[in-house]
Amino acid sequence: MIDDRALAARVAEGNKHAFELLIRKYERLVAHMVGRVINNAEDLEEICQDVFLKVYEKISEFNFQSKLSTWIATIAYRQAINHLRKKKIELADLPDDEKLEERFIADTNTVELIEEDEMESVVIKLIEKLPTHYRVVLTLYHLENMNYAEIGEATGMPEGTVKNYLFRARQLLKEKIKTYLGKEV
Amino acid sequence: MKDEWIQKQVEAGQAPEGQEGELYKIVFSALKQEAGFKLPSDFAGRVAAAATRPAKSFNWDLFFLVFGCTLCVTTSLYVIITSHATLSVGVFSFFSGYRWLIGFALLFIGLLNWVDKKWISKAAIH
Repeated sequence: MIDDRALAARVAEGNKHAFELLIRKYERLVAHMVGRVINNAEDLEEICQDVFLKVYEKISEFNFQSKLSTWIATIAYRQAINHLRKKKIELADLPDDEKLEERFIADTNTVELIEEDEMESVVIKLIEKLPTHYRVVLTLYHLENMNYAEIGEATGMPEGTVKNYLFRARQLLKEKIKTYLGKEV
Repeated sequence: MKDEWIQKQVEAGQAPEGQEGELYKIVFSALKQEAGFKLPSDFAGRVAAAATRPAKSFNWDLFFLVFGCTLCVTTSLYVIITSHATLSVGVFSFFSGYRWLIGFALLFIGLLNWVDKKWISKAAIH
């Protein structure tokens, strides 16, 4: 398996095969990151493509002060957020909203929508209802195995905020299924 | 504080007892599941090909556009000069009798567009 430094050097030289390898290696990460920010399935592939084109354009400037995966995640995050701004979709669901927890747990639409599903599928659907920043942090931590510092670097959030969002997001999900189970009994 | 401790326990692979522990185990297990969205299998090939495609050495599209426009203007001028044609408003003089109506129509359409952009489009997004 070719290491990231060698791969990046070959991509910077314009090697098509190397770039295809790089895309295959990181397409899952980019799809997860973009998919957690953008809900519109039609735009997802196009944004992922833009992310990799940006990677290709800028890779000669990348100096490995961070991991390649963190750098690509940063580009993916910014590209997705810029897309929301361009479409004038506000990040209205910022997790700093104090009433968020009350609203999330009290939202009965989600429960009605998922009542036929298994418990794990229920949680997966609930994740989609979480604020964007929570979804991004959860995905990078649990699916991409990034640590707090790497998530902070990719998203521009302080490490403390990342830690706090992770804790609150999991707690919200737990409280929601607790409420859900309480109604089922 | 209790939640933080349980989360740490579950993450470390411990199995805290009680309902809260069980619920957190479900949450942590679901968080490990892949997101639904996947890129098509030919995605890497297509993007790599698009990125590494050499830039066109000569832009034929632009060449034909400029050539066509130049030819059109030259031919028009030649015909106007050789046929001794005179410029006149012609059929458009019909509109001069309805200038207020046309003015109102333009203003109304403009206003509709402004209202759509300012209020209706925003409402449709949210």
